[in-house]
Amino acid sequence: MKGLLARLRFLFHRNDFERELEEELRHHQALQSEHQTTPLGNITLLKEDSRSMWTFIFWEQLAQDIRYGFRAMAANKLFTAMAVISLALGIGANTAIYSLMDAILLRGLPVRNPEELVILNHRVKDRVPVMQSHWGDSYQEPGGGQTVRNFPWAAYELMRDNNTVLSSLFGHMAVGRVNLVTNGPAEMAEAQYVTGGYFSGLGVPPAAGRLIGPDDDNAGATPVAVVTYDFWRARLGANPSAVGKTIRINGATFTLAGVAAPDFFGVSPNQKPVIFLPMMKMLYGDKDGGKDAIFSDKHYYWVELMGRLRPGVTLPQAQAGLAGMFHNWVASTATTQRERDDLPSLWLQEGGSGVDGLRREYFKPIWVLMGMAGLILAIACANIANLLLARAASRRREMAVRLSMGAGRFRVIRQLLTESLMLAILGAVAGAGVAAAGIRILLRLMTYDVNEFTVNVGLDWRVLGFSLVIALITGILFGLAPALQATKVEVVEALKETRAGQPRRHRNSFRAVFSLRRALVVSQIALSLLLVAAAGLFVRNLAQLHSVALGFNSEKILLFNLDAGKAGYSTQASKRVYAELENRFRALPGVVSATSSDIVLVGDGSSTTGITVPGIPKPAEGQRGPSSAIAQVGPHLLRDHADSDSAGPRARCERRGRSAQSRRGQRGVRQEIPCGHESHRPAVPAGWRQDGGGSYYRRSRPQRPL
Amino acid sequence: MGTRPDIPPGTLYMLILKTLARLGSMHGYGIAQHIHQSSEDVLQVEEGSLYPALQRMLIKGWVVAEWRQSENNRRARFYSLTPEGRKQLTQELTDFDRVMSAIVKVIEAV
Repeated sequence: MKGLLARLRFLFHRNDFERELEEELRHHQALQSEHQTTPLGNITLLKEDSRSMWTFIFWEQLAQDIRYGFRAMAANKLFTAMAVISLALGIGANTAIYSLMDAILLRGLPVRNPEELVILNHRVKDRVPVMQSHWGDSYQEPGGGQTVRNFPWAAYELMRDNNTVLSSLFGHMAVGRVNLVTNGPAEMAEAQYVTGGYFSGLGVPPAAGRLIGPDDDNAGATPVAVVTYDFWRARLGANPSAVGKTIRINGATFTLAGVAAPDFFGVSPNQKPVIFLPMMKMLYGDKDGGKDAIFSDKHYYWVELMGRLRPGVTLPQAQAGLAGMFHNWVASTATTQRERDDLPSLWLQEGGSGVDGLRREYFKPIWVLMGMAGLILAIACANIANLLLARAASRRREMAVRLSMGAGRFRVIRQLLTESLMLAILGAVAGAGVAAAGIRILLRLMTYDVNEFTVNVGLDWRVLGFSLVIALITGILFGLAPALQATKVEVVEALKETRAGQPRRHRNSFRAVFSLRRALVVSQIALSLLLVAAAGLFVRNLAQLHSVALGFNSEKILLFNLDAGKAGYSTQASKRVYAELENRFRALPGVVSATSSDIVLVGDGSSTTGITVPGIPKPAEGQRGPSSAIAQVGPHLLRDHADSDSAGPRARCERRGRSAQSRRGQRGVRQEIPCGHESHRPAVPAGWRQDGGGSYYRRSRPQRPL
Repeated sequence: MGTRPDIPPGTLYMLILKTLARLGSMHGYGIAQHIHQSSEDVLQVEEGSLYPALQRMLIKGWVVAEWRQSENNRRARFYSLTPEGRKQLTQELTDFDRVMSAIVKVIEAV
């Protein structure tokens, strides 16, 4: 206590202290020289040591170091800018990409115990005969074959009622966009069909009202709907009295039963349904063949399934339990030998992070980006190391001056370390900014054609910390090595150097530093070359994607979607609406032509159906005949979009089979191709119009440049 | 020049206190000289440790300092013991004796 007071007093009488100490030491020196003993030595260091007894020395020196560090930075602005920028880019890129990867690939669904959830898939060879129709996505597996996660309804009911490994098994299916009228004008909204066990199985509580439950699986139940919390807040003013209101979906009447918990967005981050409807209240027109077809057809694969493991059951156990059951069932549906030869096999996948369309799609690109970001950080660190080494060489003279004036070695080293750390911290702060901006840019790049994209990406502080630590370690290592080096300087020799920083060839240690620098430069150039080459490939890829010959002129085309059917118009009335719209658009000044198509050319889907071509014999029973991707178009589409050299309608059909060959109609000749098999085709859900019959495939999205 | 044995750590304060107890008041150089001579030229107190130690003792209140004319008419800072310093000396001597005799026992036990 007394000591503290004394030290505080010292703060105010510092100059007296300095003077007195100086005088005392001179006295000592004088006496010493009279007595012919050894000289006093380093007076400044002695003074500093004596002084340090009185002060809060650590903090004072730290403040001095920082002040001096800032001055050094300001004195060498180019160095500072280079170091901070390279660190900021390295740290920022890593943090942004890892944050994105975490959000897309790793994070769990916002539900109860997401690690217990499993997704049911089955693996098929190219196309399994028993799966005569499929509605949903399929993914090519790297080893051949593809994964499909859609099941026939009968398989779902069987597994739901008889399995012993899952505490619940529930189904869902994306509806696509529906025409939704709540309390104002109609809007298009993404909807999802779910079974009664969906919300309870996921463990999602209601925020208001009730959610869709087992009772809603009864065919006779009142049609109800559940909306997301965000929709309830944005469109219904978070009004509890909205629950119980009547809403209209594609013209049909539903009761708004409740609101799901905040944050819940469904099970697939790349679909964002705002409204959930009971599976049994599927919307469809009577013209499509009736509800029974979709639920009873054992060859129509459409419902997606998720389950929750019973406590204590592992994923392999559950898979063993379910796969056999599914295999027996699917074998019983096979009618021909061909179908029996090639049955789909069920496998389970962890579902904790949701159905992973998005994840699959972006998995590889993100790893590539991650790798490149890692390289950038490596380059940044090498760059920093090199800069620090170079600067240490140029500051040798300064170090020598400081040492000769009595600075302690530790003090000089600490000064250099402080400067390194200051650089690293500045770099990290700038890096956080780069990361935040980078995340926004990456999200924009990835989502420019996905309207609803529910990846909640925040800055990942752990990654930022990790990158910062790497940068700090680099700073310390490469700040320290030259610092140690510099303080070993032979003071006199270094002072004698005519120019600051002139390297001395005869010192081994300095040669080591320089060869280290050379190695750093070489590795930096090598890494940069790698990145440049990769970037070049990406750019070329992008350029080629943009210059793909589409067969039509894609300039100056405006696109929009509408669906009169969903607003309750009959098929005939819809046709009149579309025709009338086309006429009106054509009449607009500045519009050259207008037409319609049920599928956007080079869009993200296609509809394939069987066709019969005059001259090609009909396939035998159980065999697939020729099929073709079909677009139903309004008048003028081919003429208006055609390239100049391929003017005129062109019919093209592909024959699938052992020898896939294509036949082209002659230019300018209309060729009649009757569509469809005679065989029964089940109804397709609303959102897909089918006039000619046939099976529908929604392919996974076309590759987007990244 | 040869190696000079270092003053055992922790004993410098004791040596300074004892010197001041014997001489009454003395300046830094005198203290160093006295230790040097009474140890028969074995112990050499470095200035680099002497003056910081004196400053530390000032802070602790074991010694006080005043500026006076020295024997050859130079202005010098003379240090002298405070009652607290005396207490500290007794304490340190007791501790040192105990440690020393313990060390001797260890060394001489064969």
